[in-house]
Amino acid sequence: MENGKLLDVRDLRIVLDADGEDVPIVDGIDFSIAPGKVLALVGESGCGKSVTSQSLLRLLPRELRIASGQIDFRHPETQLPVDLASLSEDGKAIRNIRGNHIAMIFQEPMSSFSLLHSMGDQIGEVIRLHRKTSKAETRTLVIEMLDKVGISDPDRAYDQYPYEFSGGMRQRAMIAKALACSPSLLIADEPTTALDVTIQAQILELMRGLQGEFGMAIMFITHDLGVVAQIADEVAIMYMGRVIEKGPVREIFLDPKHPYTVNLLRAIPKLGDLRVRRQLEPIRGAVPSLFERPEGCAFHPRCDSFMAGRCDVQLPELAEIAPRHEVRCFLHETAREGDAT
Amino acid sequence: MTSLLTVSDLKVYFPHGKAGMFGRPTGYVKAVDGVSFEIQRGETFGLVGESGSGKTTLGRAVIRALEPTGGDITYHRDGAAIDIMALDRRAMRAMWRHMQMIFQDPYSSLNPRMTVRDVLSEPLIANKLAKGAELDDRVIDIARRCGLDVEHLSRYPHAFSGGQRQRIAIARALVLEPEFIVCDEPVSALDVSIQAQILNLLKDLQKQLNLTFLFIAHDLAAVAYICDRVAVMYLGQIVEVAPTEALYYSPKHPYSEALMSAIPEADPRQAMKPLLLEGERPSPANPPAGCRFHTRCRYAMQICRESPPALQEAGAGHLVACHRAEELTLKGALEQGPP
Repeated sequence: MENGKLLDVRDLRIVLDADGEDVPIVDGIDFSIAPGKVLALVGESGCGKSVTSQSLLRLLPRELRIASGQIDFRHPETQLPVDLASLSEDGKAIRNIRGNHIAMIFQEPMSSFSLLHSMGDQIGEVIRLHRKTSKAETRTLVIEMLDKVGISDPDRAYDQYPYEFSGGMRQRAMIAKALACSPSLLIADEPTTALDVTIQAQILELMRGLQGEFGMAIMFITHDLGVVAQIADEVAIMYMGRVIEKGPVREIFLDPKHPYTVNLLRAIPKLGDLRVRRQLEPIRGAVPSLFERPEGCAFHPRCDSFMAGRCDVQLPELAEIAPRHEVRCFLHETAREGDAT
Repeated sequence: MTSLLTVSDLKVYFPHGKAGMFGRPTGYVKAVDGVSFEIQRGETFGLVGESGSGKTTLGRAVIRALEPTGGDITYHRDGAAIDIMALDRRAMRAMWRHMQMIFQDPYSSLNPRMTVRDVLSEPLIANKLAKGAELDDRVIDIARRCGLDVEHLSRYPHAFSGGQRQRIAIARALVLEPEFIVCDEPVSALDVSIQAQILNLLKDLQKQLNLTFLFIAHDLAAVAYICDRVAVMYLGQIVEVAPTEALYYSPKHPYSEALMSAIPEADPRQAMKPLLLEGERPSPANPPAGCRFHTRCRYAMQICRESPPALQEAGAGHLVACHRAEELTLKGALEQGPP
């Protein structure tokens, strides 16, 4: 694992056990995150982005398993890389990391809270588990945390129950719980998708502020390209279980190379186009079922630049076309060879 | 343009908090509270606002898919003005031939036991509008217009993707040749690459069939793309109505300004600078006195706490309900301008 990386995922494969047959859900993906940076993992439903995030904490559903690959995480205590993929799913090592050094937030905050315990006790549980603090210390820490995420009257909020919180407050409380142990990596799986735009803006601002304050890295999983443009440093675009393009946020949005990325950006409405009344250009067809994965490049049946005998036969490599900008497409192969000579 | 639908002082109240089993309700959630607007024939009229603002309730109430508590709805057809609220059940059923609805979730809005052909034929059969060869022709015609493969008509909904299901739902709404369609979040359950297909389909169908849409959505960029005029709702009331560009680029209500500032543009050069709203949204069961937005408004003054502002003309086709509309200069979307 290179210096300057917090997380390094290499050739990760996750398969679904369908009656004894392995169906690939995530088919060999590579990405890394530097400390304190935001990586957005972007794609449509079924592209494998959520499964990838669950595999980092070894929280995959029963029917899915990691078939191969490495997930190197630099442990903040030892500064040595630990391969999360090789750990036992319920062993001590992963439990020490889960919720402590790597935390996770979700789209639906109620999936993180029990209805029967007060908000404060539930957030405090994480701290007590990992930090072995006393009850009084824990309460002080939780109230501090609730205050940081912008919950008014945190002292009172400590003793309230989830039903007494509004949707936006629950989202904040979930963030407080996730950040309670100052993780070095926060995994955020569609954290603002269910929220109204004004509350989404509040949560994004909050996350940006806390990221600066805590110096943590964020892996942001979303399908919303607007949110990506606003929050990410680096972007990885996924399609049917593979990363098809990744790079710095400006390059992905201003100089996209893979036909899927190019088409996706042309298919979404932008306010900047309101005056020119630009027509949206949809991508034809739909994402195929995981059980009918197209041969070669999985995007080829929907691609306007499809080359018969090439794209439908062979899988292009993910190759670097500019510093840190990588694309998995035969169209950009020649440019690369040209650069090399 | 001529007016298709005129709504005035529409109210939808839901009783809540019953005291005892047979007790009277202790209060009402005023989901829609005195809303007036007009939709022109052939336009797409957008309705935006946060969840709980009453936009879905309003969408249903204007076609009486949900019974309004009070107010007037006038529908203009063939030169006659029809008083929708005065129609009895039977007459209302007949009116629904002209007013249809498309829902958000194409998975729950289609009967899984009916083939696509059955789904599309049923409205024609139930209304005794076609049978035999004519029935087939009309079903095939609408399926084609909606981009469905005619060879797939004998399949069941589960065999289709989300985007195709939404096409089926649109075809079902259009098979009776209605004039007016309420589209309630028609693309928000779909994948990004499919949303554009459906938005463009709705635009094309509108041109071909001379349709009028009431388009309800929370995705403000999609609303900007498809709507001619947009109304902004807050706590059961319309606070602003304007042509799309005017609303997005020069909003006149502080709540619209906050909404526009919070849209994340898919362009990293356009850094979002949201005007964050203070506090929580008040409950629609107990809305604040005066202007309902005053508890979260950065510009609120004494008058805003005391008297509710009326929706008034503030420029060409631009209506706003704000005491300070004339003196305030508010920021529009992407205010920092292009790079």
